[in-house]
Amino acid sequence: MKKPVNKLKSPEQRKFERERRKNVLLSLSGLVLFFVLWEVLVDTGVISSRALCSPSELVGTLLTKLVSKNPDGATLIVNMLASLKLAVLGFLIAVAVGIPLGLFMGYFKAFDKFMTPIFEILRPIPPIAWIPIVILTLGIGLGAKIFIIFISAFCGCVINSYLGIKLTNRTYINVAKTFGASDWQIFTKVCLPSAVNMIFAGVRTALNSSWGTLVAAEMLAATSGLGYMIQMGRRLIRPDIIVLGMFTIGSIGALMGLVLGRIEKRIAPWRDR
Amino acid sequence: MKKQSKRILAGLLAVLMAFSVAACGNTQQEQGGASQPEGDADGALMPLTVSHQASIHSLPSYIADKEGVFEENGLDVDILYFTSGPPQTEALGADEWDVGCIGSPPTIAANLAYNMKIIGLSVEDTVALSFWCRNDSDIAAYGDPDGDGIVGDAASWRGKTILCPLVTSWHFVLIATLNKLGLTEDDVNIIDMDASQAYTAMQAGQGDICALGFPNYILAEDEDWTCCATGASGGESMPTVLVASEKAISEKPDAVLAWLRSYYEVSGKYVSDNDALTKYFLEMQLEQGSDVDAGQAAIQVGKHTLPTLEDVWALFKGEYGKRKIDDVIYNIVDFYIAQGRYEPGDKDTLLENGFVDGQFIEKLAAEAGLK
Repeated sequence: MKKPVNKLKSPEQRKFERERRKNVLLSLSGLVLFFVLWEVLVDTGVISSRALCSPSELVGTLLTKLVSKNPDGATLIVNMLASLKLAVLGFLIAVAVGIPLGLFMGYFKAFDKFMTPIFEILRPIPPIAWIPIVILTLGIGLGAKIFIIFISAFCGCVINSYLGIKLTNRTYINVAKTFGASDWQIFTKVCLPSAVNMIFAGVRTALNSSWGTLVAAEMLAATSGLGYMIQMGRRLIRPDIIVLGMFTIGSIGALMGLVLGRIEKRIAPWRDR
Repeated sequence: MKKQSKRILAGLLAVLMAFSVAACGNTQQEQGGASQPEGDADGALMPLTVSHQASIHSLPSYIADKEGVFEENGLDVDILYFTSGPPQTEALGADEWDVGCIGSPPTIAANLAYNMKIIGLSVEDTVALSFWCRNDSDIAAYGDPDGDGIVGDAASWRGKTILCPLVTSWHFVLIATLNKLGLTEDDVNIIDMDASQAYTAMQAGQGDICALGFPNYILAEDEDWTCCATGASGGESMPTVLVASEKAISEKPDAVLAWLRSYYEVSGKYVSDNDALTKYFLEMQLEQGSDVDAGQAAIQVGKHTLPTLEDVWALFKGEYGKRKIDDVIYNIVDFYIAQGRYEPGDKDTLLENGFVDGQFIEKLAAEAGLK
């Protein structure tokens, strides 16, 4: 039997839709204003075209790079796919290693005392400083570049997962103990759900770091990629190529953030309440 | 009491800030950056910011600074050092320097973007650029039966992974070498990598061939590697050049001319004195933090011949666009257009921009009675 369609919306539904339309309009206006201001600043010479291309020039370069390999040797799509592979693999490995490590460090004191000094020494080292050692140990292939991405993304996962466990309400833990829960049960049934918010915050940080380190990773050795494209743009003094690379990195990062948000809503629907 | 001490602290900080802002202003005036106008006619020294790399092409300018030749020519010079061409030209985009010594490849982009001009020539860039393979490779095994300086043949080079920085003199030499072997870039796998990193990677067992510069090409022989190609074997010429910003040419032409005069004065004086050049080159390298010794410095100096004004004038004389220097420089431009790095229309833009500006060499040639 066909479900009757109720075309009449409640006042709350209409209000919700109005709010949503208003928010979308606000976001779009922000973007439009940003691009208009940028165009005006470059066209009027307030910002030199030596330093920054205008949005209209950027669009032209984008359309050209979709089909042309010049000047860096690969089309935009080829560069995007090369970088996506690198960034996603580095990000996933960082999440897979960083989250459990942070969780265990947060819950098990002895493990925390053992790991923290090593972690605190490694944490401030910039990814780019690893390049000479990575070349000697991992070579110049995909593994070496993934490592650079991993080392940048991993720290955010560890720190946020660690804090997520540490911020678990002691009352919940005490209640669990009162009901005879074991250490493992408290960890998995109380601390882990409590840490979900912070874990996802760490995952978002890791995602930003992965994309942010792309240029450094592709400086190691590359034949394609968005970071490589930016490097070529720099050598050829093509600010339009540089900005196109930056814009593409930013857009893909934003899209991945959106996807991550959807996954978060599924796994932790209570976050928005 | 607490409120009063906060007020006193705020007042002290404000006074401190006012002093530091005033001090900064004074420091900037004393330094005399690239934006200052030319010196006046009553004998005051003309300020000029010169960009160098720690390479042979910057050596005459370095020596001129050390021996007071700049002051003799009425210049107050401030020298900036860069590790390579790209950051050097980037700094030009921010008007950080007036004149400098640089390789040819980055000047093309710098003219298209900033209208930087080539105003003179320095040493040949390709003489100390080389490519190296491992002794146990099939390239080394093939040897150099023709005696043309290229080790290996097309079959042994095909499919090889070559560690080489792109859009550089090395890249130019590599493509020239591949062309001589009947190969193109598509027949090999070129990985863009800084030459010093390429050396480390090759040591770690990565890649089949690597591009090396000074001092790594000297150290390569201790690594049991074979030199499989050089700039000479590639058969193409790529000079290092002397350049000036558009702003310096228009606002302080006398200072630019004085710098060029100083450069060729020193170059002509020391052209045959490798011992003195080695001493100064070693000094420059050590000042810039390079870990080289006198023997290595002597090898690098021995590979290069400093240009004299006569040599340079021979290339610059003639009608604009038809001089020998135009053939040399636009050959390099054509190479990069063929690689897809620049558009064919860019060559016309370079010509219209007066990319190779001979006015200063002409003046020096007239002063020296060569014209």
